[in-house]
Parts: sequence; C-alpha cells; structure tokens
Amino acid sequence: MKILNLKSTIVLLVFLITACVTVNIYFPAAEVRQAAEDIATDIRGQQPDQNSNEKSMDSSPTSWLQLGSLAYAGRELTVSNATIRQLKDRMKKRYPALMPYLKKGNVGEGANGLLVIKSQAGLGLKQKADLKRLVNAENSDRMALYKAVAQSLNIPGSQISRVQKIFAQEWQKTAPRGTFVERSPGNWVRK
Amino acid sequence: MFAGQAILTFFVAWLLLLPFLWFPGTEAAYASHASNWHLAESGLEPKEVKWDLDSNFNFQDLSGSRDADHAFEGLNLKIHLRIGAREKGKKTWKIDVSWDKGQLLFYPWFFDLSDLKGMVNARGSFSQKGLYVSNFHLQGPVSMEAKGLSLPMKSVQSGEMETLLKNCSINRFSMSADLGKLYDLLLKEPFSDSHPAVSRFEPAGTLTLTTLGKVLRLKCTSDLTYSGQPFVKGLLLDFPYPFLAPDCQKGRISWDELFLNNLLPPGLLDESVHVKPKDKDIPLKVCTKSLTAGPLDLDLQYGDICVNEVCLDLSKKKLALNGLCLKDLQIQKLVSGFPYEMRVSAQAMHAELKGQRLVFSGRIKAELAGGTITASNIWLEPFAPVVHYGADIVFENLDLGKLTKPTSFGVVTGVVNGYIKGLVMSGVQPERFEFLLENDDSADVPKKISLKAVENLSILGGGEGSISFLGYFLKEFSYSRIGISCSLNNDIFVLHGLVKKNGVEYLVKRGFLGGVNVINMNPGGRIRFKDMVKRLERISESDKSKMEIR
Repeated sequence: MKILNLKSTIVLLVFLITACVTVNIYFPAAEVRQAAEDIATDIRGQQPDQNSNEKSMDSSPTSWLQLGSLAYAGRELTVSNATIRQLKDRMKKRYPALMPYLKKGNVGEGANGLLVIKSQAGLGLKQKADLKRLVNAENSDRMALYKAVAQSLNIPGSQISRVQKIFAQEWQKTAPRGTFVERSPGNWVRK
Repeated sequence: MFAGQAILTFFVAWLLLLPFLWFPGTEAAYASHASNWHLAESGLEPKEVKWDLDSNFNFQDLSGSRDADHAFEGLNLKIHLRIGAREKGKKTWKIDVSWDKGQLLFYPWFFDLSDLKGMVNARGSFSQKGLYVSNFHLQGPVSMEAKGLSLPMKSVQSGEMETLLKNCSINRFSMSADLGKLYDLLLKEPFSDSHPAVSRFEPAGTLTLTTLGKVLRLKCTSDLTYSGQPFVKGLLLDFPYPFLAPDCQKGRISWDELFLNNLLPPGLLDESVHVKPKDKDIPLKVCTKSLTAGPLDLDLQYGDICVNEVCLDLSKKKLALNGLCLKDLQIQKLVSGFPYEMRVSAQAMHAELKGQRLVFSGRIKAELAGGTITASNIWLEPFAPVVHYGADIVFENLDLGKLTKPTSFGVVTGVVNGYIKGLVMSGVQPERFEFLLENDDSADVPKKISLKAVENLSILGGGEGSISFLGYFLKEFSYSRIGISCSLNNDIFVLHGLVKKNGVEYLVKRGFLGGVNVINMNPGGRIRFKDMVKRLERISESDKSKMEIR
C-alpha cells in the first residue's frame, strides 16, 4: 500500500512538473504564422499559395494552452506596430531589386528565415558587391522584424528561432519561381 | 639563411615566376634583366657585392580572388621593379605601379579603377635589420606621401599589424583627398542599403592626414548637406590621434552654422531657428583608446542645449554623455505651429549607451498650461534598424481651458492630471503607451465642456453623447468628472472611461442636476491604429458630427 502511495506521489509529481514545463514552452504559432502570411503577402504583393500542402513544424499545438490561443487567434491575429510598418516599407521597396536574383537562383530562402547567397556565377564584381549588400540589408531588417513580431506577441528572445522558421515558410511560399528554398537545414530545392 | 637573404630570394623567385601564374584570359608582357647572379646550393645568390635586377611587367585583364569577398577583375597593371645592391649588407629597391582599368572588391567596398586611375612610386632599402621606405608616393583618388618609414624585420616577420604599428617609425606621412569622393567610396556606396541615412549626407571639402612625430593628425574642412539641404556650414575638425604615443592629444571641432531643422522631420523646427555653438571651438581630448569632447553649449535662440562632455571609451566599449542640460527652451518659438506657451528645462542629466540603447538618467520638466509635465526614464536607440525612443511622462495641474482653446477640438475647462507610461516611439509614430487622464476634483474651477468637444470625444471613442433635453439647446455643458484611459499595443488602441456606473462606461460624466454624459459604446474599447488615424482626421476635418440624443 505504501509503495502504491509512493508511486502515485511520484506520478503526480512528474505530471505536475511536466505540466509546468508545458506552460513554459507555450508558443503562439498560429499568431506568428498569420503575421508571417500578412507581412510576406504585403511585401511581395501576392496571395500566399492556398493549396500548399506544406505542413508547418509548429502547426500542432504544443500545449493545451495553445488551444486557447487558437480560439483567441480567431478573434484577432494581425500583428503590427510602427516598427513593423517601417520595416515592411523598407523591405517592400527593396523587393524589386531582390526579385531578379531570387528568380535566377543567385539568392535562396533559407530555413532560418534569412536570405542566403547560393551562387554568384555570371555576376561581375560590382553585381556581387551589390547583391551582398542587398542581402545583408534585407537580413538585418528581417532580424529586426522577427524581434518586433516576437516582442508584439510577448515571445521571449530565446524563442526567436521558431519565429524565424515560421517566417521562412512564408518567404518560401511567396518566393518567385526559380528561387532556391531550403526545406530543412541543408536540403535545398529549386521552385 | 639570413632573413634579408630570404626576402631577396623570394623577390627574385616572384619576379621570375609571376608571369606564369596568371589566370586564363590574362595577358602579360614581361621583360627582365639580371646582372651578377648565380644559382647556388642554398638558392639564388648574387655573385658579387654589386648586383641589379630590373623587371617590367605589363598585365592586361588580370583577375584573381582570395575568396568571394576579396577579388579583382579586368585589372590593367604596369609594374616596374628594381632591386640592387651597392654595398655589402644593404640592398635597395624601387617600384613603380600604375593602373588604369579594373575592378576591385574588398567587401563591403567596391572600387571601379577605371574611375580611380592612379600610380604608386616607392623606393627604399632592406637589410637584416628591417625594411626601410625612404619615399612613397600615391597619386590617384587620394594623394599620399610618406617618407622615412622604418619597419623592423622582427615585426615584419610576425605578420601582426599591431606589432608592426607599435614598432614602426615614420618621419613624415601626408595624405589629402576630396572628402565628398572619399565619403561616397568608403561610406555611402557600401552602407546605404543597410543604413539609409548615410546616403542622405553629402559632404564637400577636403580631408588631410599628416604625421607629426608619433601623432597622426586628421584635419577636415567641409560643408555638409542632408537630403539636399544645408546641415553644417564651415565645419572644421582637427583630430590628432596618438597612434604611437601614450600621451593624449588636444583637438577641436567647430562650425560656422548648423541647420538642425533640416535634420528633423519637415516643419518640426521653425525655419528661422539657427543653432550656434556659444563657444567657437568644441575641445577634443584624443587618447589611444578614448575620446572626450566638450563642453558644448548650443544656442537655439530660444533656449540652450548643453553637454558638459561626451566620452567614448573604446577599451570598455562605453559611450557616455555627462552634464546634459536644457535651458529654458521656448517650444512655441522653436516648433512651428505649436499652439501653446511651453518652456522646457533639464539639469545635470547623464546618458550612457547600454547595448543599442542610450539610457538617460534625470528628468526633463516642461511648464505648460499652468501645470507641469515631467519626463523620466528617457531612452533612445539611435543605431537600431528603426530609431526608437521612449519615456515615462507625468502631467499635473494642466488647465484644460488653456489646452483646448487654441485647438479646433472644442473648449473644455477644468484641471487634469495624468500620465503616459511606457511610451515607445518608432520614428515619429507611437508604438506603445498607457495613457490616463482625469480631472482634479479638488481644483476650484468651472467644469464645462462645449458641444463641439462632446462631438469630437464621441468620434474619438466611437461612443455617443447624452445630453439632457434642455441642455441640447446650449453650446456648453457642465460635467462632474472626466476620466479616460487609453493604451496602444500591437496597433490596437484600447480606450476606456474611468467612471463606471450601472454597467455604463463614461468618458465624461454629468453632475447631479444636469450636464452632459459621453458614454463609451465600443465594447472592449478596441480601436485599430488605422481607424484611430481616420477618426483624428475626421475631427480635424469636420466641424459637425451627428450625435444621438438620449
């Protein structure tokens, strides 16, 4: 009987501890995805691929609390503020210059939500310099954007990589045909 | 083998092999003449004390790269190198290099050498002790001259720039350049994409660098424009950097005219305002790893801004502004269209850069409409991708009559207190804040609100006005309490009335005998940023709006 009680106590303790951990890893994936979709569509001026079967790594709820957050998501999903608007404007202006490089496969959409220079073949030194500056400026704005979105949704800094991954999927969806996309780390395919 | 001999053999081997190392497509013409040399067991060795090696190279379309970030392409280069010995142990060298075409990438910098034609002439000697450059001359995008540069062989062999700089000596070095061209090449072109503000500056003037003993002196005279408008006229910078000396040096910075209004959003600072330093020179103290500037006292005609000193410590990566003060700034005269008499002052503030954020300690106080506004916890992120700044603001005893009369909002009388907590601004737009305003019941003043103000409050809150039947024929109503809270986060304003009674939320509550109620009819009080902007536009555009009578 005593052993049974001890077992029950241990099970209860484990349950409580796991429950605590579950609360700590709560992540508003649905809100981030909606924000990513809105922002990527706004910047690139196209509707995201509705028929896409790409499953998000963060699509399943990570906790019971997240079910609550999905319900909340139905009411209010858009993430925006003055910083995000300014970053979006800058990225929108930069996109026409980036698009040809994406189409030609010079630049790829990485799995971490950042641009990666894939090939510089056929580019002169001036174009190489311009391309790298463009990519660095875009990546700097993207990192600022991810931080702003995370801050808006009260996501701790340690979880920014998850925001990046969700945004990566949206950038990849809205990238023009010909763009290299990194489906998972190191796994590049051409759209 | 002696180090000198090693260098000599390397030079000769390089001269002989270089023409065969080109990349495909490169054309090279090579002519060389060597006298008094033979091939010994230990390598190439001169036969006699006196010897000569004279080589001419003419490269066309030369290309090469170290990695993706460091490369050259299509380079046309002419090199004339001469090495010789006249006495034992001492060898002399002379090199002339010229270029007229090609591209050079040294990321983030890119140079099109077709626009930057130039040549280098240098000569000197070398021995076991070291390398000596007696004369160096560069003519091109910049003009550079160096004399008597001595590099000990041990430092050269270490390959470390810091060791080389510490142990080298130089008699004279001078460089001059067109500041505008240098700025475009080194800052504007490479950094405009990531820092758009860089592209808005256009300096015109000259820059010179000279050495005097162990001090490198930078002098710069310039006129600076921002977005095509003058920003600084007659800028003079004298910056002595003690690169080989332990003692700190005194420099200065000064200007004739500063047009601060052209740097701020259009129309913010009145056009008539000219900013002048009270003292002609701002002293600089330049040490190897730190810089101190100040005191600086700027006369804005209607008040002063002063900083006792700006300290930059590179070893501790620390930037601090000490003794910041604002002396009686008359905002109504400084800011165009500002409708109130407002005086701003601050004393003995201190600011320190923590990460990306410049954090200010101390308070800024403003006198406005018979009351005071105090800003504390002020911060600024000047180097962030989007410039942010913020503060906590408390306002006390503001006379609403004085505040509302000069505006088209409609007149409201009474005295209010309140705060804006956690204000975060992004550029010129608010990003986050918590605002609260309520009237002071203890103030012995009439509490009236005009019909227009009621209508505009209704528009702002998406609510409705409730006026007693008799009151509707009046243009002014009495109230007993005004209480409004408003927060902004994630582009959503949440507006609430502080008075709640029988499930009704009042922005303005009438008294027992009569007056006006303004009720918040918006469930949750949520207003999108865009909607709020539209409502504010409606307030400023329309004089009349419909209101439901209850």
